[in-house]
Amino acid sequence: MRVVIADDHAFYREGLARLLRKFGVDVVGEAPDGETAIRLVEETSPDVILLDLRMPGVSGLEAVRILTEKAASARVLVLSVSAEESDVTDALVAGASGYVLKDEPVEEVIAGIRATAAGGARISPGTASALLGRVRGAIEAGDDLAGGGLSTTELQVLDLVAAGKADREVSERLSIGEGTVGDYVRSIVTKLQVESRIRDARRTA
Amino acid sequence: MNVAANPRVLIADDHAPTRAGVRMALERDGIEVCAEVANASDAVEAALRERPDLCLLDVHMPGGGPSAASKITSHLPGTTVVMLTVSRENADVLESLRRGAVGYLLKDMNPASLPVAVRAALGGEGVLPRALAAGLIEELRHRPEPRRVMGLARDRPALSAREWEILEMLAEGAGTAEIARRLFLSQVTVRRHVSSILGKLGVSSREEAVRLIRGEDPDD
Repeated sequence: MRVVIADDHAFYREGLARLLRKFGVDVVGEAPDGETAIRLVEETSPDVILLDLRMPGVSGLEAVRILTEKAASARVLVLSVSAEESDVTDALVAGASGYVLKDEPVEEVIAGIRATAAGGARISPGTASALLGRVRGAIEAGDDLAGGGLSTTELQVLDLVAAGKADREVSERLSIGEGTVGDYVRSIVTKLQVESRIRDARRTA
Repeated sequence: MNVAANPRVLIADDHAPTRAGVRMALERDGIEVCAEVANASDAVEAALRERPDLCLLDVHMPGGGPSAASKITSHLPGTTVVMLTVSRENADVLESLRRGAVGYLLKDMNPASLPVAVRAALGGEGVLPRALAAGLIEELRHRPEPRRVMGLARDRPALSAREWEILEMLAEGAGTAEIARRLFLSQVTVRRHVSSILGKLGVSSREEAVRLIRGEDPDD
C-alpha cells in the first residue's frame, strides 16, 4: 500500500511515516500543506492520501474535493484532532473515504488505510460516535433525512463501531459477512452525502 | 549549569505519531528518550520513576500539561520542564511558565531545532519562540498598572524581581508553603521576602499588600 501523508506539523508527519513503515506501509511522500499534497499525489499516484483537515493554505475540505476529483483512484483518509460531528460530516460529504482521530491508536490509521485502499470506507470508533450522536438527534427531532435514510443494520453497524468493536465482532453479532462491514460504512457515508445534497437543494429551492 | 552530553528526556503527548516524531528528532542528536507517555498523570509517574533531565509536555493532553509541569517541578527540582504544543494562546504560555516550565515551544517548529532548544533549556536558558514573546509583551503592556504601587515606588525602595513574583503569588491566593514549593525556597526565606515586601509597601498585612497591588485602597 502506497500512501502520501499531508500534515503541517513535521513531528506528527515524520513520526507517523516511521510508525506506518513499521507496519509495512510504503510512505511515498510527505507534504506540509494542501498544495504540496496535490502535487505529490499527481507525481506518485498513491493508493491512499492521509490528510489533516487544518493546514495552512488550501483548506483541508478544499483539498479533499480537489484530490478526489483529480485522482479518482486515490482515496482520502482524514486524520484530524476534531471529533466535531460537523467536521466529520463535511469531510465525508466532500469525498473522504474515511476519518480517524489523531488521539486514537495508530492501528486505527492502519485499518483505515487497508479499508480505503481496498475501495471501502472506514470510520474510527470516535468518529462513529460523533455520527451516531447526529443520527440519534435527528431521529428524536423527527428529521426525515438524517436518521430515516439509514437502515436498521446500518444503524447497528454504526453503534458497534462506535463501541470500538472490531469488524469480525460486528459481522458476527449482526450475522453479516466480515468483509461487508466496510460496505455498510460506505453506504452510510454515501447516504450522508446524498442527504447533504438534498438539504442543499431544499435550501436553494 | 552542567549539561550532560546525552541528556535523558521524557515525552508526554496524546498523539503516538507526534511522540514518535519528537523521539526521532531528539535521538538524531544523541538525546536519550527515557519515557513516552500519553497523559498528565502518567507523565508525573514516569518522571518520578525515571528522573529525566528534561520533560517535554504537551499543553492540551488529558489531565493538562501545566498541571503535570507544576507537580514534576515541585517534586524534582533537578528536572527541567519545556512545553511542546500547538497552542499559541498567551494564557497557556503564562500558565505553563507560572507552573514551572522554563520553555514553551510550538509543534510547527523545525524538528532539527528541537535538540538545540532542549540543550539550551538544560543550560539554564528560557526557550520561547520570538513570535510568542511579542504576543506576551503585548499582553503584559496592556495589563492595568497597579498605580498606587507605582506611586509608592518613588519614595520607597522598589521591589526586587523575586519580591514581585511572590507578591503576584500572594495575589493569586497562594500561602507561604505553596510559594516556597513553587519557587524552590524554604518557608523561612519566603516569610523574609514577604516581610520585606510589606515594609517596602508600607502595609502591615499580606491582605493589604494584595489590595494595594490590585489598585484598591489598602485601608478598606
